[in-house]
Amino acid sequence: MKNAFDGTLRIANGIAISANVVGTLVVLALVGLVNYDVIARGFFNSPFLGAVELVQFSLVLIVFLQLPDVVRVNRLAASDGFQIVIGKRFPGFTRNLRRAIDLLSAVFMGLIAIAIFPEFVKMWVSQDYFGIPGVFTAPWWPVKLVILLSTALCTVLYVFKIVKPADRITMIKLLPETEDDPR
Amino acid sequence: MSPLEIGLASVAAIVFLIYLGVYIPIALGAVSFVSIWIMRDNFTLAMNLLKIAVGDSAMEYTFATIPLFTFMGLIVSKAGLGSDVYEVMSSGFRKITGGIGMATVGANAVFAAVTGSSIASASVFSKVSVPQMIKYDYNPRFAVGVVAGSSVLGMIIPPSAMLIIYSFVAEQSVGDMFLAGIVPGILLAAAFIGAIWVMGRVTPGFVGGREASEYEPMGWSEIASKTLPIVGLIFVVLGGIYTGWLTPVEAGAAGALVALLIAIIRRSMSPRDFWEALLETGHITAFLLFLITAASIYSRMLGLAGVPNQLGDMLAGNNASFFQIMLIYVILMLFLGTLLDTASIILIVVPLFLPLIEPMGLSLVWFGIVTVVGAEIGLLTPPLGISCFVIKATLDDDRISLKDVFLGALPFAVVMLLALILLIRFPAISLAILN
Repeated sequence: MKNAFDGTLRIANGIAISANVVGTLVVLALVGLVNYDVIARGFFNSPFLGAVELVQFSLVLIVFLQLPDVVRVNRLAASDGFQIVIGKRFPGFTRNLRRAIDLLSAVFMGLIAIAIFPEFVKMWVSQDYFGIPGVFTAPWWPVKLVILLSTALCTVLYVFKIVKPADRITMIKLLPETEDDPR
Repeated sequence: MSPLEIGLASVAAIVFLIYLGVYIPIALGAVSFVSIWIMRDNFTLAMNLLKIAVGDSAMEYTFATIPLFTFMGLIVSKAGLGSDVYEVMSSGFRKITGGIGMATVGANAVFAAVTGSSIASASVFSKVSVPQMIKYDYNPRFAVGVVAGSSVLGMIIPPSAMLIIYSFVAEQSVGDMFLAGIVPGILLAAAFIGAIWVMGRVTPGFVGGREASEYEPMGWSEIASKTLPIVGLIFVVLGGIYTGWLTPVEAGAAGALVALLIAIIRRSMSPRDFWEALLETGHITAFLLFLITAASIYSRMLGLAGVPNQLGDMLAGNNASFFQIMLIYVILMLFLGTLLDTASIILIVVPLFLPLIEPMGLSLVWFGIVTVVGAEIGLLTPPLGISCFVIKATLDDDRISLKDVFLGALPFAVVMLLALILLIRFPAISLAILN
């Protein structure tokens, strides 16, 4: 039982880490894409049609490919002052409080996934697109699919945190030096 | 319960949950979801709003500025541009009491023009300037206070992630917000330098320090090689936006590319640094945009509850003056600043007050500058002054406690408050460049 649990956790973490790497490459692609457009338009007078749509799509990719990893390493900002104050005196209560917080987070992420699911099916069936017809268009369904898979994975990661809460409380979530990385 | 009561109760519930330690975006999103559901007694409607908010927020074109400017800022910090400017400045200020402190402020102001985050400024300058100040017998409390205080410039002087977030909530142009941030940012930097000069005269014990005798005056060629890269970068980014040749998104991308080229030419960045900067960019973008998504559910909830309108009617009924509204606004931001980060404060208070400010005929660009400066004071105040935590964590020196950082930053928080009053009283300071 414990092996199955650890195995699933490892797979979920692995997916989050791999998605994060892909999302990271999208950041680089975004820099290249916009610069290509600036140079092509500014110096050769031939703007890259579809730059706006691709920028929008890459934003979705960056956010939702990396969100599970942000959840995994606990970098979603929270104010931990209260838990640190009571942590020493009531360690049991604090642990359960963190479980409750992760449960709430799992439910919320799950609700987003459930809300997006029919939207994905609709776009898959209708093959709807965004952008300007005749200039540049991109289908909606990949956008919805990325959001759906990402929030579903976040739900799973939060469920694991309920079962196996992190021992250490980190104060700052925006700094690499203090990153609580269990890899 | 009436919708208004539900709306106000949910604002209180959000603050309470955040105090307990619930992740800020989860607290905003979950409470707003439940209150929409209760208010309209309609689960499907709440789900629909959730779906729209999550789908739309990340698709906002101007948000591409967030990863681009974050990436540029991280690259310039890794490339050592911050410490270069600092070295030039400290050689210039070497003969004055508190000179290294003033140099830190000045270097921070310049560095702020290529980075959008106070966190980056705080971590760079606690590494380069605090050890220098301690070496020259400055009061450690003053040393960390200067770094904490001047780090806030990172988020006021453009490009700034906070100005981008405000421009989304208030539907203002990012370019306008950036240009409006320049003069207030310089004003604040000048006020900090002035405050250090006064402290050096009035309370020399708090400042401490001696003349930095070992500093050699720098030759012109060295000054040029240390400042030209950063000046060029500022010229590309702010110049591009000011002349209208680049949109803010394009300026961000061009800036990131130029920063990358500078780092490669100077060979000051390892592949590992580069990869970490990319990873960090992605994490910060994912976090900020998820926070914005949650906040957009919250502002839809407030709108449905009619809280901003009712608040407006209430204040109008009491004949609340401009002064009273701004007083309430500033106090609210300072209160939230004790436990929230700047982005969360902006996203929580702006939707509440925007409908009050708009009918008064006040400039929303000016209001944005006031909001960002007001929310930034919270970076310096306990118990959750994020800049102070970053400095404490970066220094990792047991002789300097968190309390020292907060006490050292206090005079700078007071200066910020005075500057905020000036900015509120004279909107022309913020609007000068735009007109």
